[in-house]
Amino acid sequence: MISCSRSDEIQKTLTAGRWPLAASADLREHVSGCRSCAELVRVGAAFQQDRAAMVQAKRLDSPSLLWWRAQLRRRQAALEKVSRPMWGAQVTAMVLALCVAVGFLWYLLRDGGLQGTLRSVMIGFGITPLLGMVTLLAVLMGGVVVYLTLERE
Amino acid sequence: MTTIWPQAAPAALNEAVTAELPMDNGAFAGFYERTARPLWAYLARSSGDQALADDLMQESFVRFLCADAPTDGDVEARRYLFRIASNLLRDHWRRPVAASIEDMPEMAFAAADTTAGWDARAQLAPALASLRPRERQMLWLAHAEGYSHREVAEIMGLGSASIRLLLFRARRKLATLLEKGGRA
Repeated sequence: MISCSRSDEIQKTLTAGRWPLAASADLREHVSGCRSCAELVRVGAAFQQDRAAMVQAKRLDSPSLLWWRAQLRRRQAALEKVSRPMWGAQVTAMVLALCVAVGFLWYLLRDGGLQGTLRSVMIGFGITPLLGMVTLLAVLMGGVVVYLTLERE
Repeated sequence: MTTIWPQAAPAALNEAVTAELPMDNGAFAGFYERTARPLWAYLARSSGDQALADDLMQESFVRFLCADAPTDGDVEARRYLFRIASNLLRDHWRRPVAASIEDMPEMAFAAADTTAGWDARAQLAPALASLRPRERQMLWLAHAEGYSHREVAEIMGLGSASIRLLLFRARRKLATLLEKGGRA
């Protein structure tokens, strides 16, 4: 890599828009004899011209719309951050409710007494205790899923 | 119905709803006026797609406002904005799409500036099309925006040690192309 000691000076002159008219005669003479600096000038001048033309031609939209969009997004993010612990609490409550429901069902479907009667009724209708438990759980879970989905939306 | 808002609302929720942006509307309007056009030019030339540049420019400003961007100085804020835009460009190029930006710039660049005549600017567009996106980005930042090697490295997320060599090679490649009239 061959780099000239005057390349920084040339780069500054180009960026400031002083090339070639406001550049010193000494610098112009150097560029005409230095390959690296000539390349730098060729590339730098092309970029400066292009940038000036593009910047001039660009029509901008109102910044208010972006401001409003940013505010909306920031508030949405903040609300999501706040509602995350609430979501956790809801899930915990649902799991606890499910455990209680399963325990209660287990208690009902045991042999003897009221439980035995209920069991015999279920068997009379062709429902095995296991199927009854699964159906009841499915109904419960279905309600939970519907609730959580609607709440998320 | 009993109104509980805002007195009984949890403090965190209240804070969330009234979340303020780091820059007020007036300050942002001034910053936008000063930086939007150069940012758009950078995105348009790096991507070769003006519609994409429009989208990425808007997204850059929204992300800039949503992030806790440095607002104490224009130079810092501007550099931060260019970094966001560079990340968005990189994400765009990484996304697997049928019409990748890597495949299209030649046509996109050739279509632009056909009326500009045979000057350096007219040669620049087709010459840039022959370069890799990363080369276009670093050349634009260094030569159009006037950023130092360290700043270019910071904006593009590259090591500052390698940027000097990468930039030198890209510049040599582009200078050769410009010498030939912009065509590879």
